[in-house]
Amino acid sequence: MATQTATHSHKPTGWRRWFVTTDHKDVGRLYLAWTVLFFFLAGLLAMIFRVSLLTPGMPGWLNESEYNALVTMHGSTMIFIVAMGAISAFGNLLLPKLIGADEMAYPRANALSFWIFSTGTVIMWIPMFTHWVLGMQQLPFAGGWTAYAPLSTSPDQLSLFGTNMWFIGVALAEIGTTVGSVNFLTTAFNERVPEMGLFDMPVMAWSIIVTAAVALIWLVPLIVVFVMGVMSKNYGFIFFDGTKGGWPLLYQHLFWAFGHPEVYIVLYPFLGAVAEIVPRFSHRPLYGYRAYVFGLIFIAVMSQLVWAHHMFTTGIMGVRFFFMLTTLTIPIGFAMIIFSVIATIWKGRVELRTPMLFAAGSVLMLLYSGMDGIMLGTPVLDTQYQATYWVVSHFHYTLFGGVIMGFFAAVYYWYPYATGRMYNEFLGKVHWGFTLAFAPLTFFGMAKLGADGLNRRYATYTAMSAPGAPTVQTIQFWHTWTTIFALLLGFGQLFLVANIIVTWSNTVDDPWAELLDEMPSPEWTGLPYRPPTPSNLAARSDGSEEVSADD
Amino acid sequence: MTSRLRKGIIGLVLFVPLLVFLADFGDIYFRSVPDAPQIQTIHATKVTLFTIAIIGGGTFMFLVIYSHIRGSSRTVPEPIKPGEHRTLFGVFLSVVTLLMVVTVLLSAGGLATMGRAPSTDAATAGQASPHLDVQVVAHQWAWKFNYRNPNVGGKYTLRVPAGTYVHLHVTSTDVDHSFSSQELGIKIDAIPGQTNDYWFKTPANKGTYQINCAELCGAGHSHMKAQLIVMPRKKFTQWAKQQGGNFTYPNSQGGS
Repeated sequence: MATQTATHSHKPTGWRRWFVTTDHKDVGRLYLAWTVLFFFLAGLLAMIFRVSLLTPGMPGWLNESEYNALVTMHGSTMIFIVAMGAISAFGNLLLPKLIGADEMAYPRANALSFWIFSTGTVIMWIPMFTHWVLGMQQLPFAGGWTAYAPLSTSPDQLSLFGTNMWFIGVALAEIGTTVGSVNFLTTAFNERVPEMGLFDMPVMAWSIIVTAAVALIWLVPLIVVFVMGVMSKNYGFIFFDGTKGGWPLLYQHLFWAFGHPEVYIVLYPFLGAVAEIVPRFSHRPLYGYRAYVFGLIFIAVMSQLVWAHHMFTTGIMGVRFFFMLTTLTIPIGFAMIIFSVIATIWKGRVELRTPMLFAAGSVLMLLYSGMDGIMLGTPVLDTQYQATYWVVSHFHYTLFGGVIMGFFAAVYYWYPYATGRMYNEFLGKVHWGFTLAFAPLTFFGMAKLGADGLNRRYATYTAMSAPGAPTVQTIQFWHTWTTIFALLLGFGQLFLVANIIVTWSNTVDDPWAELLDEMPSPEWTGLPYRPPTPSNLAARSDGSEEVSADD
Repeated sequence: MTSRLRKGIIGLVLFVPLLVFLADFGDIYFRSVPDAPQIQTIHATKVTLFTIAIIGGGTFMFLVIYSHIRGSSRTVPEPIKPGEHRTLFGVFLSVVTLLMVVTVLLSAGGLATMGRAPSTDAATAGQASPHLDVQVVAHQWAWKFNYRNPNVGGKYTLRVPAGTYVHLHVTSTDVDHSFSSQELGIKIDAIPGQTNDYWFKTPANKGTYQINCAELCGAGHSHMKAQLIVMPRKKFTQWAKQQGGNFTYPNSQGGS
């Protein structure tokens, strides 16, 4: 609250500060560092198993189970740690300042959320360390990031140690995120300055609220189903064991009830970031503030009703039509957002700085993956693509293209805010160039493999036997293509590290002076604040203060 | 590096996702599929929907790229008046909604027939045509086909006659698997404790197709393959007889 401004006087300094901090910006910085660290670790795993796919059989240094473990750890780390950590990072860094509060509603719970989250991550990764560094026999979890039961929960399948550590680690990490979500919602509604109405908030604040609300509801089934998994694996519960009267699809329903909203949970904050970046770097007010926010809310509501489109081939014949209908309403929400973005940039004076370029990349990749998504949303085509590399290509467009590129846009835009330093523009552009040039080419190789009928999570491959089916050379060609571009994409990410190192002492006070002068933003310029809508900006240039939030 | 050159490189990079998108989706026009109704339905739906996606998605990707490149050489932004382009926005949303309705309608036909038992009219058109009845049992890491009609016991290769309906009863004895033939457009999960019924019509011509497992099932997942051999009807009848079963077509349908 506003009366507590002096309570940070006994803040510890040096390394101890990072272990005891309850400051929202420090917690945000911890989340950000953790996210970037695991982005590189999980990315490295992808490079390793992609190299093993250069040959049709297994290479001498990796077997099928280890391949599955690497794929699982890559996917689950990227989703549960990197993407989820990214939303907490920006939520903590920005939310209080965006709504004119000094601090989060529960600063201690905020610190707690990070420490539970990071403990969960470490637990999840311990089997990686014990297997590949200490050489212990037990493998890390190898059941895919979706961890379908009964493969994951049956006591006689997969490694007991790896599975337990994975279930417990991920469940803990998501309990951490749940705590954070409670905090975000409470902060947004209770700590907001009274003069700021809901439709006076920056879109970024809206996007954090929407994320937190959906996460708070749908992380619960995930945590529940993982606890049920641990009970089945260790104590003989038969929840998901179909041969003993359990119900394997119960797992899938609970998992995807979380799993589909999750895709949007990790995306909203960066759609919010796009709405902050695009108007400022094109010197045009945000076209359709309300349309943008309604688009976010619409997707948030509908995303909770689409989960079974991941299960079209499980024999749920009768309900496929319903889930196709709900799935195909999602593009309407995105249409509002995309229209708003293009209408904002249209005829603007565009500054091609790194945040703007990453935002453009994110929007382009989202458009692409949206087209894929419509195809996967109709069961007729899903029959063809379900569980093939085409799906892998699709969610990499969404999650790497949409989420991670949006994350990078946010990282570069708020880098001066978070660190007090200015990044190097040239290195930033090189990072962007590598990312946007090579990410589509990498995922294109996957799309070709999937269109040719190669199923995902295949450690080895052979020719397909059918008239006109691809030969093993064709499959190897596209695998090699994908691997080469993946390595280039991975190399390009090192420019982010280079940028951080090069600009370590490049302090800055007023990084986006001109842009923020034109369109102030509360995290940089404080209150009073009006969203940069056409009517607000028109009123500002007239010198009149009597404006409505209406666009 | 001059600013012109820099801008040129940025423009080229921005076009990469669009070009890749066109190559990815345009691929559909160069594919041919076997003469089997299921995959024909899928392919026809795909061609229509991909065409819509190429036009719609391609246009909007182009607009994003164009607005960036064009805007980067502008020195003064044009202001937006409050309430500008409202009609355009409404029209745009209506068009997107309409396209989604079209997608639903296009899919509804396929959805009503794919994987389901043929309507009695189709099954009895002309004369009653026999259908194959096969239980598919998946286990780590193989497929077993228990023929019920013709009653010839368990096999590890799925032999089927050309142009005939097949009724699969798919299940598993350990973990989730998924019975899939990409070339024929078949995919149905094998789930322990549950039997999934799935119908499809075999291609009109003989050929050998691959059955793969499409759900991660452990270390042997990528090795879990079987063959689906489409035989001429007469040959299949003979084969069934050799195996001690009986599967005959009425004379008018090329039977013996």
